[in-house]
Amino acid sequence: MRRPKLFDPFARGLSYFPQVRTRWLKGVLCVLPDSALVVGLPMIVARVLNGVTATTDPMPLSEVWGWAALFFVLVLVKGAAKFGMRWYITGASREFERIYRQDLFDHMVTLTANDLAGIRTGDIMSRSVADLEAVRMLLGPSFMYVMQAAVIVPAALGVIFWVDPFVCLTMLVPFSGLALAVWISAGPTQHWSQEVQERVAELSVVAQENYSGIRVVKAFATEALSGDVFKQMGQAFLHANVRLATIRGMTWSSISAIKELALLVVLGVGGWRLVVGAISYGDILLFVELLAATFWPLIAIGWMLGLYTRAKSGAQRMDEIFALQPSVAESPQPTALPEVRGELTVRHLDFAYDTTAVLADISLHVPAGTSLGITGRTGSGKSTLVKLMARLIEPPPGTVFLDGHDVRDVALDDLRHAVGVVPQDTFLFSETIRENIAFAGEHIDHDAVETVAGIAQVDKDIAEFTDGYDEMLGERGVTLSGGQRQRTAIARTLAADTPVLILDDCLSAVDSVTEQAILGGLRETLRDRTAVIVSHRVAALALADQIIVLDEGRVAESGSHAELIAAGGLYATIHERQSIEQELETL
Amino acid sequence: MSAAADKPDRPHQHRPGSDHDSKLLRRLLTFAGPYRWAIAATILLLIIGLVLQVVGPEIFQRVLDGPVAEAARTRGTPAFDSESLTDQVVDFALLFLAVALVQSILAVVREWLMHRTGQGIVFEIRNRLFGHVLRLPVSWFDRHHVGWAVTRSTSDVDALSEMFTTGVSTIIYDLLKIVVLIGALIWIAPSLSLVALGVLPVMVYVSFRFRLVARRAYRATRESLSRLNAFLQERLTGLDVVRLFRRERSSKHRFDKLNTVYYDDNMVTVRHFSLFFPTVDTLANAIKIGTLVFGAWLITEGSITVGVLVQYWFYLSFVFDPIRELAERYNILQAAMAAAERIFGIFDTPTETQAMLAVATAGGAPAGPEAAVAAAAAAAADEAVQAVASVSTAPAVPAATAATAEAAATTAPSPLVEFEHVSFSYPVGPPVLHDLSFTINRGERVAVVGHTGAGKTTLVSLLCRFHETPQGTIRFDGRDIESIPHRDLRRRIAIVQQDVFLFSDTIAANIRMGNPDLPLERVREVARAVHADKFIERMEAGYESGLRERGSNLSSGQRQLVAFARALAADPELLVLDEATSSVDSETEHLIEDATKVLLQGRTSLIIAHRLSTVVAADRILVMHKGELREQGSHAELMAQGGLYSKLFKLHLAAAP
Repeated sequence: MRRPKLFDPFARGLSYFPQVRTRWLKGVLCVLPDSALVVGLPMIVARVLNGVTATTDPMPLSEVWGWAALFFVLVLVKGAAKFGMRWYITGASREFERIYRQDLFDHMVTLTANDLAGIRTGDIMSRSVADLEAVRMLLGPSFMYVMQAAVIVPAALGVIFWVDPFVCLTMLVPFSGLALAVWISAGPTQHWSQEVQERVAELSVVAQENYSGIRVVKAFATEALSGDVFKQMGQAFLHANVRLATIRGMTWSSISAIKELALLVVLGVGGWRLVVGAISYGDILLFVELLAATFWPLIAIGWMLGLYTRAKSGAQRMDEIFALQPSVAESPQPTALPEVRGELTVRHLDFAYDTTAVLADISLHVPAGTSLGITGRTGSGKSTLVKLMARLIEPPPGTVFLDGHDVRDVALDDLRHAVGVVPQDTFLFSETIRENIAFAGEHIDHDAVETVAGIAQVDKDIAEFTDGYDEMLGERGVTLSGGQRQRTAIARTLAADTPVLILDDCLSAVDSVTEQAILGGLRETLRDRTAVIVSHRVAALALADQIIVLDEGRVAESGSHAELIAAGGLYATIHERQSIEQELETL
Repeated sequence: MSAAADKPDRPHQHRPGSDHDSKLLRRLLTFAGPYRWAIAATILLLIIGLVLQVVGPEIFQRVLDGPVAEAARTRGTPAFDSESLTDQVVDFALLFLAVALVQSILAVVREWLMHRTGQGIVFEIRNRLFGHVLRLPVSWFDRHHVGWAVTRSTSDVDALSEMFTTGVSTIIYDLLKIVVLIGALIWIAPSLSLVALGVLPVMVYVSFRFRLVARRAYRATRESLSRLNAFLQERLTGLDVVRLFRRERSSKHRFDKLNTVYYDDNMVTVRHFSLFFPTVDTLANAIKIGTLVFGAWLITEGSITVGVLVQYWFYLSFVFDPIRELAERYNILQAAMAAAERIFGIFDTPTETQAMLAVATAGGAPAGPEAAVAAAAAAAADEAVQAVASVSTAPAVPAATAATAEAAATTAPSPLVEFEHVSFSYPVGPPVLHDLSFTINRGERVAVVGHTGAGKTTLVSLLCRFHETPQGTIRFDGRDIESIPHRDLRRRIAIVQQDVFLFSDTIAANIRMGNPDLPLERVREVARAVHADKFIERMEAGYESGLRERGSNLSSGQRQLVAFARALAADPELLVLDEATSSVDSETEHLIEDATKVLLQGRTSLIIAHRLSTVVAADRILVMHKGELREQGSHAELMAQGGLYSKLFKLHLAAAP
């Protein structure tokens, strides 16, 4: 059977359906008795009242008791069915949500930060929660209500028609009015509730920013000014809120007005039909009950219509994430490299982000066990180069080689085990320091953690924390200084014990004395490893066997420290500037 | 400072119904004062609506027991007049229509009024809260997470909003409705009402019981969701680290665990809801069947009419909804009370100015009663200025121009800043500053050097009164800073912080921060002076270009330059410079160095120095170590002295290649 077009945006969601099918079907099976009894029970009430009030041959009380017993049994059946319906269908929708979210996460971890750069983290969070919730609501509870409506509305109208066609036909007027009201209000409600959401986000951004920057606010004494900005935004929020409330109020009032109109039909037309003797008293009660029973499902359909747009855009926003292809993926025939010597080669590497050229014709060779220093101005392409060397960004084929193998062909697991990187932006997780340093794997024991912390010169800092290595980082624990973070990140990479080490400007927040201490400790560690060190400071570069200077994406200079100084180029200038500061003293 | 952080997020144990609650409620109601007529109107509208709701079924009863009963009695006899009876029905129907219309119109007005009032009240609370938080001492921010404070200003205020808009009036309405309808049930059919009165309390009990467990379950889902989100956010931010260390599989596994916990918690909620609705439904049906059987018997007995039974049936169905909702309303009220408690907790924390007043009136100011009076007056003046909220007023003391500063420098040294035996420690941890004494004369450039943790930044915080009452005295321009209103003091000092904080506003607005009325000409001028003009003019909208949160669309060097321009625009008497060490390339560093010179020209300045060039060029260098001032003097003097400074300096030299 061809799936209706209506469901096209939910193709991915529906693909998870088989996994929840059994549960879902059980729920659907419960909808039928519940909905049927919504219509059936009032018929019993009507039957009894009609019987009791009949002028000729009224129903004996014994028969009333019989009906009451039947009613009671059916009430229990209905209760059970209602429970089953909710439990299975809502449950299935929660299961569906769980699978969907896991799939989304599993997909995201195959991507690089760069692949996801187009979407803000906060945005991704709201997709995986709010958008997913909208899709779940549509395919879960709201679908349940629609199925209910699909049974109840025709059945109720049918029963009313069967009892009295006049009442039924007149009743269609308010019913269509209801559909109209719900339909008309769906758009503005959607619009203003979104507006309210945006305004509230705006408020919290202003609050967040002013509270975080409280020292600046106070230093410039702008409390009152910030208060005015906040007030203005609050005004906009208030406006949006009142508009939304008015629209909601009008919607609800018109719905209840329409309900009153329907009752008016029961009273007017029903009263007339009673007078002419076409119907009996009980039928009035039947109409009233059926009316109440049909209204809720009809409103639910309107609600679903409103939700549909929301869920559709939600599903599309999630599909955008699923559509992202990992730029760095395992090669179809990966080369296993269990033993790596650590020889790095770059051949005629050109690289551009979109259309902005970043690197042009870079070639270099780092023999196993030697070190390379890279320097250059901000934006000269240093970080991009080392990211390409570590295959954090995908290099063009045939440009970057590890031990003579194109890094694109090397099995990712082997490559990561071979190349350790300390990134420029040190990111630590809000776990214990131990867990952070031993992030590379469960096999890293306490001794190893202490050793690398010592090399990275962070051991003394850690010793001063209340819980030492078990101190939590982040919001709930200590907040490390920039230098401490960098040193912890260095320890983390050292703990992975890789034959190749790349340090991407990771000592920038460390004072020069500590820097020397770290470099001193590293010298030992780097003895039989290949190292690439990116830095602005000549001090950090000096120990490298060879140094390159990047300028606008090209290798401007290369050679040893002494050679570059002798050459008198950019490197020599940087060196000179950094030495002048010291020379000043000798004057 | 994080060690000092308390744990404000612990689940709040709120006991409703206590004396405490009524106090909170009374305090909340003071905010509703200006709206009392709107509130009275709302309540009036609610009561009219309620009356009209009772009237509707009454009309039904009149029709059924009037023309319809008449028709039933006379049908088949000559007295049967179908037409006039139908006319009677139509008359009643028109009456019903009128009632329904009035009811609907009133409902729209009521909704609008309710929200207008509620939002207005909350608007006021939110603004006052925000203003209050901004005026709290910096130490408060050290003890509370920013996220926590933001939640108070948004979510907690929203909880109040819910209470003020729908909560209070609806709970009154619902209670009234239940009482009136039950009264009506008893009134029209006393014996029949026994059935309902027997079962309704069970419904109330079930409803409250359910909300209690449902709320607990809901809270659990919120907690597991926030854990899930925190994990997700962190893994996304550190995605490259995850990949770098091949932790994809373990991340998936941990996400799966958290995701499943969230699912399980949700299923508890689903179970509660799945049980609750059918239970209430079943109870309602039980009342209906009882009513039907008993009613049928009463009708055959002739004790009640059919019309009364139908009317009764209506009232009965009206009463179910408010009972089902009552517990929910109660929850809103409770959440609002908990929120109000936290919000008032903030309101009750004295602002910087209030704290100053309190100290002054208590006579506890260290400099004696005279200073206390001065402080009180100053604080009052400060409060007044803040209340007027007009930032355009000129600072109490005109900012010194470069010329006067220079003039001051050539004559006898006049101290601008004096520290006298100042000691300071944070609530927990070792002392940060110990018995610190020094002066900064007008026109002088003083550099502070020292190893990390020497107390350099704390010194600046004390000078700007970000932290209160250290031991000892700090004087600015000859006055104890405790007697100078915060605002005036800070307007005379400009700080360029190491961690530059820019606001997500235009570049021009950021530069104008200390001086909102600065003409654009002048903004350009200061930008040019600190070499920020080139990159700003290259931006799409120039000075009107918007910055992203924290200025993240600028490089760190560019942010630094904007901060320089901001400080220069403020034209302070004292410039405090916390030099940046963060990685900028040498070209930008050169620009910054140059801009620093412009900034410092002819100005009294205090520099937390990291660059040797600034240190060497300073008039005086303070060498701090472990919170103590170890040495001071010029570069040459200190080097000759051969003490700590020369050692520090040699270390720097040794670090160089």
